[in-house]
Order: sequence, then C-alpha cells, then structure tokens
Amino acid sequence: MIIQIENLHHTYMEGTPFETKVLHGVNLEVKEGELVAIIGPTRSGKSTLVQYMNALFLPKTGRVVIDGHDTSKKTVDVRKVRQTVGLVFQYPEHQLFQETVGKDVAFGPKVCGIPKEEIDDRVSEALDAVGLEPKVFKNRYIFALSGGQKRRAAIAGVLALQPKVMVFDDPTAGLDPKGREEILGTIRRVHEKQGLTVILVSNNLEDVARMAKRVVVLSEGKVVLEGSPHEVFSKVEVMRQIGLGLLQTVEIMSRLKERGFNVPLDSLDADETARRIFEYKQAMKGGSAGGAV
Amino acid sequence: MIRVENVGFAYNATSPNPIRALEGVSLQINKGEFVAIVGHNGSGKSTLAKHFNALLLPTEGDVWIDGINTKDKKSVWDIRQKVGMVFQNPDNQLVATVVEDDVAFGPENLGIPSEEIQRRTEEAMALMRLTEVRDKAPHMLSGGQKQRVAIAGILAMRSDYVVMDEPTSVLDPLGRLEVMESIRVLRREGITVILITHFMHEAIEADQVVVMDGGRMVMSGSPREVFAQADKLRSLSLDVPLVTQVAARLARMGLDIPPNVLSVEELMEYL
Repeated sequence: MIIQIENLHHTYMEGTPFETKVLHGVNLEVKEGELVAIIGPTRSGKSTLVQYMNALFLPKTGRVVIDGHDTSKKTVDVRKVRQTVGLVFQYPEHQLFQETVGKDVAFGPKVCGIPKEEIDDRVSEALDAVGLEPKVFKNRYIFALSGGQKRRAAIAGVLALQPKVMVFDDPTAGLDPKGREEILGTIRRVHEKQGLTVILVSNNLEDVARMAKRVVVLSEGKVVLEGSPHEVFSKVEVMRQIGLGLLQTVEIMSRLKERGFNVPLDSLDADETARRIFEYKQAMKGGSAGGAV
Repeated sequence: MIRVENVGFAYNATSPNPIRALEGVSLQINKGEFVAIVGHNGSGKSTLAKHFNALLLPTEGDVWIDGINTKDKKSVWDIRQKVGMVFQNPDNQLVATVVEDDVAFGPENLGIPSEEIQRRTEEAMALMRLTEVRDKAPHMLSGGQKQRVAIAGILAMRSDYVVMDEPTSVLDPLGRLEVMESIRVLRREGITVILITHFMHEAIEADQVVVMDGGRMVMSGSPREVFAQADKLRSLSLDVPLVTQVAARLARMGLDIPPNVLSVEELMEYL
C-alpha cells in the first residue's frame, strides 16, 4: 500500500462559530501503480483529502501513512512525504513564475539541492513526459504557451521532483476538448510508461469513466461508493442523491430503462451504449419470435 | 436584435504584428433567441463574445445592439446595461461581501431609487433561487450558486441580453445543470441568451448553433442541421452530442435511425 488512510476526520476553523466538519472518518487504500479517481460534489471533501496525501495537513484524528511514513506521528519527515507525493493543484499554470519553461521546471529540483547536470536530465525527461518536446519548449517563454501547454509545463515541474505518486486536482477544468485530451494523454503516459501511482480528482465524470480503474466517491466527507467505473457509475440512485448527476451514457440508459427498455445501466462510452442497445433489440426480436412459437 | 456585420478583429491591430482573431463574421441574433457559439480554444468564440457588449470593438465591420453601433463611444454604458456578461470563473466576477449586495451592485451604479433596487434585487434572487442564501458570503457558495449570483446581478440590471462565456467549464456536474436550468429561466423571462461553450450537449436546446474555427464562422443553423454534419464537426476537432453519437452508431449497425437525433426521447421513437 503506498497510501493508507484510516478513519480520517477534518474540521475547518475548529473551536470557532464557523466550525465545519469536512471529513468524517474516511478510509482509503491505494496500491502502488494504481490509477484511482476520486469524485464527489462540491464540498464533499475531495480537495481536503488530497492535501493529507502530501502532508499539507497532518491528521489530528485518524491515520495517514504514505509509503511507510506515518504523518500522524510527531517524528514524521514531511519533506520525504512531499517528495513521494507530487500534488498538482487546480489551475497549476497560475503557479508558473519563471521566465521560461525550462527554468520553471528546474526550480523544484534546484531547491531540493539536486546537482546541475541531473537537473538538466530531469527537466528534459519531465518535459518529454508531458509531451512538450524539450528542444522546442525548454527556452520558450511561459507567456507564449497555450492554456493546455502551460498546464502541462506546470505538471512537468512536479514530475521533475520524481515523485512515486501524482495527485491531480481537477486537471482538465476550464480546458477545451483538445487541451483536455492533451492533459489526459499526459496522465496516461505518466501512469503507464513511468509506472507512477495516480490519484485523479475530477469534476468531469466522462474523464473518470475513460481513465480510472477504480473510482472512489465522496459525499459530505465520507466514502459512499467505491469500485470499478462500471460498478460505481451504474449506482444511479446514489449518484443522483448525492448531487453528482450521471455520466451522460448512464443518463441515456437510465431514461431508456424508465420507459421500459430493459437495458443494462453500466455503459461508459458511446460504443458500449450503442452495442448494448443493439444487443437488447436483437434479444427482443429473438424473445418475441420465441414467444410466438 | 444584435447584428454582426462582416466583422474582422485583430489584437494589437496597430502594432507591426497584429494577431488576427476574427475574419468576416456576420450574424444576426433576434430578441428572445438562445444562440450557442461553439468552437475550440483559439477559434475566436470568446473574441466574438466580447464584441457583444463593446468590451472589444471591431477592427473591420460593425456590431449593432438594438440599432446602436458599439463604436459609438457615448452609448457604451447603454450597451453594457443592455448586454450582461457571465464569465468562465465565477470567482473573478463577484464583488460584494454578501450575496444580496452583489446582486444589487449593478443597479446601484445606475442611480436608481433604492426601493426600485430593492424590488429588482428581490425579484432577481427569487428567479435564481438565491433568496435562502441572500445573507451568505459569495465565496462560501458552490460554483453553480456563484454563477447564479452573477446571472441574478444581470437580471437586476434588467439587461435584455446575457452573454455567457463558458459558464460551466469549471463547475461540477451539478453546477453545470444549475447553469443550464438558469438559461431556461432567462428564456422564460424573454431574455436573449448567447452561450459560448465547448460542451456540445449544452447547445442542443439552442435555437441557433454557430460554429467558429480559425476566426471564421464555419457553420450555423438549428442544432438539428448542425449536428447532422458529424464528419464536418469532427474535422474541426469538435464532436456531436453523445446521444447523437449513439444514434449514429446504431444506424451503422443497421437500425433505421436518422443521423440527427438530439434527445433520448427521440432515440426511443426509433427503437
């Protein structure tokens, strides 16, 4: 287990009239090499939870163990935890501050005291990983990048620290379809080629359906569903009740079902949806023919 | 009515290296219509949107709002009162410390008597279902609620046109539904809505869909006409709504389904 979270509670502004409980006993385990998505409506506790994953918050109640480092212990070396888990915040491009792409990506490793030659290698590797050809982009000015490119440059800055786990907080927010594909492609490469563990926090159910092997659903500070995308997205009542809404394909299927079409709900893309409707039609034909005999 | 006549626009138009963003765009938007403008980043859709309330002025051609040319400097405040804007990120457009004050901010600056401001604010908050959160700080609201506050502010201004520039792209799924529901409310109030989006399903309910690419208007028509041309849209790296994609696949599998199905209800008729 690279991430182990047990019975985690979190309260904002504790002891003030504004006290708000945001996590109520969250349990979550992530194996090394997994790609897990965390979804949930606004204020379900997603962003709070991920800040425990790289020791920005330290547990008061409950336990968080990251790659063997127990962050609830006083003796924990938070720098080790932060080197293990790279956190890509929402709109990471807002954090770019150097003149050029290369300088910005090199900033983290430099601060960590990595030797110069190694920094150069890391910068090139990280830019490669996010699909920004190092030769072309290393000396490019930040302001000359597109929105999607800026975001990938910011991700490269986190990758250059060579973490074992990458946490992405709503990485495609505000991007157009092309920018979204670029970012999802980057996440896939980081996961598959570099073998990193990926935690994808997202408001985009379509992205999650395409990317994740396992989905964790948070609502009001608790894990309310967990499983494969097929399992989770077909839980129509829960998804509606917690205010998350449905995957578009599942929405189509559930409305067909309401009108008496007995189709399975758990379809994740247009191909699967069409195939299942087609199979249902074929079975109906066969069924009615059989019934007539 | 909004009329866009042969508009071209260049950023840094007077510099040696102007950046062309619009070329020969002509468009008419009638009162009460819901128009969706789609296209990927860099297509010119947001540049076009900023022409509707004189945030940008055409380099070539003209934009007319109810007969007023946006280049007419004296009318700029009239135009901005007529045409309200909702931006992508709600956090960048809320100004006051409580919801009610934020909704009232626009009319307060019009120099309207305070009873009238009060009446407009109440009405706008009721329409946007904000009465319950009127005393809350805007930053404590969800993304969908924040966008509703922004829309309520425009309602309180009594604007005839609302231009929304990707209002759902940073929201969670529920927030997106809230904004789409708000658009339906605006339409019932007779307000013209211009929605800039890259989510195709948000364009399904529009009267007119305008497709931008490379600064040009490359397609326009009813959703049914535009979404029937899936191949052309794909060549512009855009897609058709998911239900239309499913229908197209079923047609290819041999079912008798037309290529421009726009809703689940319609799909069912052919199953």
